[in-house]
Amino acid sequence: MTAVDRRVVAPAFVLFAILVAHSLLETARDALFLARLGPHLLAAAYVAMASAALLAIAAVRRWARLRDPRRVLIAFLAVAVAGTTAIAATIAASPSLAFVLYVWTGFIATLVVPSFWTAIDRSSAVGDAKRVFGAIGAGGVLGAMVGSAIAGVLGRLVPAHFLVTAGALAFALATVAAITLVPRTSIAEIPAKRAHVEGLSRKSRRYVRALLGFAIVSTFALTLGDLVFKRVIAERIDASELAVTFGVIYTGLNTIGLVIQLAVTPRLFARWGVGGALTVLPLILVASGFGFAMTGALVAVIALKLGDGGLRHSLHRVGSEILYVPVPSRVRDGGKLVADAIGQRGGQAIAALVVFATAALGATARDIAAIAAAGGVVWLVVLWFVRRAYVAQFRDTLQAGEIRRDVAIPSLDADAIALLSESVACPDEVEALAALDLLAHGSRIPPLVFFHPQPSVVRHALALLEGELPPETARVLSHLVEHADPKIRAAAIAASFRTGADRGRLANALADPHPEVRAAALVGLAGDGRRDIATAIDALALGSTAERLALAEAIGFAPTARFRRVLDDLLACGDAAVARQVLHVLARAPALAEPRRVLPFVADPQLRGDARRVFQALGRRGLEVLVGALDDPWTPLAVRRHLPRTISRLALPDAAKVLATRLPHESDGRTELKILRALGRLRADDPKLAIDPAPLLEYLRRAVRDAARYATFADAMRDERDGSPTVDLICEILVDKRRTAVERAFRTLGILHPRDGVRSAYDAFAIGDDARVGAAREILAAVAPSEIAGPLVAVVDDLTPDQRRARLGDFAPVAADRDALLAALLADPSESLRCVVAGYIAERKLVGLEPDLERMRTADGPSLVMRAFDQALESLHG
Amino acid sequence: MVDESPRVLRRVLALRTFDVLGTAELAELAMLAENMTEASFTAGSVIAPAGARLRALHFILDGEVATPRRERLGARRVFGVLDVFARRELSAPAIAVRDTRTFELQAADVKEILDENFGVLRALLQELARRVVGYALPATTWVGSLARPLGFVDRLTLLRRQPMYASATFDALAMLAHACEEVAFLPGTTIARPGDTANAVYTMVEGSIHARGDDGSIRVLGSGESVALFETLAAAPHSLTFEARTPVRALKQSSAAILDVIEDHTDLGLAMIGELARLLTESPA
Repeated sequence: MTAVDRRVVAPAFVLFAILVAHSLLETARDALFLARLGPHLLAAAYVAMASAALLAIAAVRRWARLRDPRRVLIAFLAVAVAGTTAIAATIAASPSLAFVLYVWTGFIATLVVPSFWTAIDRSSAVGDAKRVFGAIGAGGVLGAMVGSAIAGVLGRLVPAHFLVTAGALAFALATVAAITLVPRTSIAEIPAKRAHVEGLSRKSRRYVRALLGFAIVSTFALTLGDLVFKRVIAERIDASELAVTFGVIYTGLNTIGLVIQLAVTPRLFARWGVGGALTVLPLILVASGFGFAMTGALVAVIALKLGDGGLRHSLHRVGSEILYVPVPSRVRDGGKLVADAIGQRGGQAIAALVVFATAALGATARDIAAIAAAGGVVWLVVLWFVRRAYVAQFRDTLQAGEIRRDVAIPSLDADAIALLSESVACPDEVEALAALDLLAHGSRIPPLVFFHPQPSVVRHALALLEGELPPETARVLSHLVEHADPKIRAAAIAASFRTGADRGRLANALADPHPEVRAAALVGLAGDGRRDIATAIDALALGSTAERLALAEAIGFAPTARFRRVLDDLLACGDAAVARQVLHVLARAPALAEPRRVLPFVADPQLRGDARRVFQALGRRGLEVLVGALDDPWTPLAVRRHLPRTISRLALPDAAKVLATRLPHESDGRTELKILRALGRLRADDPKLAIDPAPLLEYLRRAVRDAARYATFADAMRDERDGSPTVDLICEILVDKRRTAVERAFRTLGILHPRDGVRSAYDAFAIGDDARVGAAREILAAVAPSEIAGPLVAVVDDLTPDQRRARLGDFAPVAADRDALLAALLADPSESLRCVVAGYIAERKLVGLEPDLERMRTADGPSLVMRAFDQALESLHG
Repeated sequence: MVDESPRVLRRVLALRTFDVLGTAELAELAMLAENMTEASFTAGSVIAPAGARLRALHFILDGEVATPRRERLGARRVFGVLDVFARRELSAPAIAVRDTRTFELQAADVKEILDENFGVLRALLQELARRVVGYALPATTWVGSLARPLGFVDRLTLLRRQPMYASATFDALAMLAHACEEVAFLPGTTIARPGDTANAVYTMVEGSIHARGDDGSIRVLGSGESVALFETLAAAPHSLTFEARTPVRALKQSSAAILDVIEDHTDLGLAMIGELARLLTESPA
């Protein structure tokens, strides 16, 4: 027996034994209750059952300190043995003990069966659950059949109360089975960071409440449906034939249930996912319920019961159990028992109340069928929410183990400003500088900072001033014209021109030894139209780096159109420090910026940020230039590759549209990746940002095809390994290319579904443990188009080449032999791969591939690639 | 829901005062702040025992930490960068000399954080590179084909032999190989002078270069070795004069090209930081 078989057979046998015991007791209870007390006490029995179960769960959790679900199960089974034995010993003594037996049977079932599933949930990741829960559940269905058969046989041989003794014996067997067979191991759960544990628990409890609602509404609808069936059969079948009819129907339904459990359930889960599979039963209920309500046709009721009997204890039960798998055990272990108890018994109790109420109003079976169908509609609605919550629960669980990425700089409210202002006033220079940066982020430089004792703080404040000096700042600065620090003096002079200070004194500043001060004075006096001033400004613009910097800074205090040419000249002077200062000025005064002159600076990593700030300030005017450059095939790659991120910084609605449209047609791989990142950032910052999904879906299909191609080729190339380092290199490239293509596919999905945890799913596949991968698959199944999800998982899964090819289907390319494989690799879009493969062909003297080498040596390709092909061709003949 | 803004703001303000984060963007600091926890250590308590791997970086807010390398780190210094990135067990315990408060950043989160914050990664890379300027990496002899000019595979092989790029993914290395420029210098050519800002690494294919210090000391660099690697990563000025003694062929990697590759492949940046940390931990204190 394999490990997988054992994982199925052992728990299936435990459930089998539990259900044998339960069926024996159920038969005894029905017979004794109806015979001794009559049906009018049924509702009271249900209420007593639910109350007793809740009390028992609370008691076990509170006083017995049992939280390990396996121990809880064994404890409940032990209680079942003891209690059932006691009832068996006394049931003959008093008719009223039939009530106790009735409550006891339901009470024990309410505790034991959910405890069993809770224990199994602990040892199963979601992927396993989908595969094996159906088979485990089949053990239960079979147990119910066998238990009913045994009860039938025993019922003919001994009085009914001896069935209780048989039930006690069966529970004892189930207890031994549970002790020996229920797995002790728990799968490693996805760890949550300490800071996120409480948040995840809160979300999980909310999710469990949603599952409780799901359980109540589904039980309610199914109970009403069952009642309609029984009532119709009772109305239309002769009373003497009822027992036989029910016997045949239940045997048939159990058989159907067993077949569905074993053959259909796993396939439905694999194909439709949990949410899809769980819609089958309510759809049948709604269709058949409304069908009967409208027509009164018997076939509709039979269809209803077929759906109920065939799917309730198989597909529905197993699906409901799987819904609990994403819940962390610390919430699930306690919450599930309570939710199951309230859900099942509560749903039944509500259904019973509805029946009583409608009976009082004289409702017919068709009326009740309509109510059941309406309940089915509510069930579908609740299921829609639960499906979303199910995937969200996986996402939240994954994200609870990750760093927080969605962190924004806090906005500056009154308290924050007070805190920062206090820090700015602090004599500690470093703290004051840090606080200034934060205040500048909120465009709030306090004027009094210019009286700070540390000149470096005042200088930093000056550097952070945006645009023209505000009047209050200018007023403060104008008092500092005699300051010892030339930069501060320069700023003060610039301010003085705004506040109308003594021009004579300011004119004297033209003779100041420091270029900052002279530049400030020149810029201030430029408005007078004097030729000597203009000449002096031109001289500064052609001067040393310090003079150019001083001029750029001075213009920054009074950025007017008359300095446009000077700024252009300074920008073109080739000095990075000067260019940075000019870009600062242009970011503050975008009206002076000529976007095309700024564009080349996007290529420079030292100035890229400054250039981007200019484009941000330019807004739509900047976007037009950036888009034009992206579309222009002559734009240098060094610039082009940084355009997407620059465009995304603009955060204009058009930016996303431009980038998304461009994506499927981008010929440069690195630019393509940058577009993806830029779009990802835009959508992460604003998930509501409108985006056209069509080009993204087109790109997604291509990315998955690329991933499938590289995965298939990598599998094939491994067979060609012959000790050659070049083959190893080709394999390495293919693996790397596959990884990149997968990353692109996930990035695209993340852009399409920015809130669904696609990034977390990608990371989970990379980490590769069962729990994370299981969660990632569920997220992927929810967000990816169905034709994409399968192949994408086939690429990332650890599979044999044959398995992968089978699962990839037509996504897997075909290469008949080694030469065909190498020819296909030579035609790959990856230049690196083509170069290395060309080298390998030369190394192995594969002259048969010479025509392919000739053909693929594109005359307009990059020189490095052409050289690789030329060298390969030469070597082939050498 | 609790408003976390003041907490994040205070943390950002505190982080901004750290030298190493001086050039980081505020958004990066906010993310860093959100993923840290505050820790307190009384004077004399052990922050991390000897023989263990450090589980977190400690951004020291106040107090003082005695490190295993016998340094005393005070406020606004970061303890643990070298140990976390070099993945070494601590040779001695790290101890709080005075009552000390730190922001802890879990070692397991550092990669993810840097992956998300290129500005912080670059700052850290520059800081560590600055500290190893002047170190000599072991020579890696070049046994390539010496094709003229170098083919793509030759470039890959040459780059991969460099310790700083040894663990780069193929994609990152291929990107760098494409961005490289093959250059030649005649004998006597001065390649770099002291004081000039280093803006390119030259990995030698063939020839010989003299690296001459102010004190007249000379180190001979040959094929397979790299010129001005750390200075370029640190964006620091050259401290030596590099002069070709024979005809030299080299692969030039501009700092812009290297940074571009790291921006797209942060795994390369992290590997380089790890290598720099290893160099620093292996050096005498």
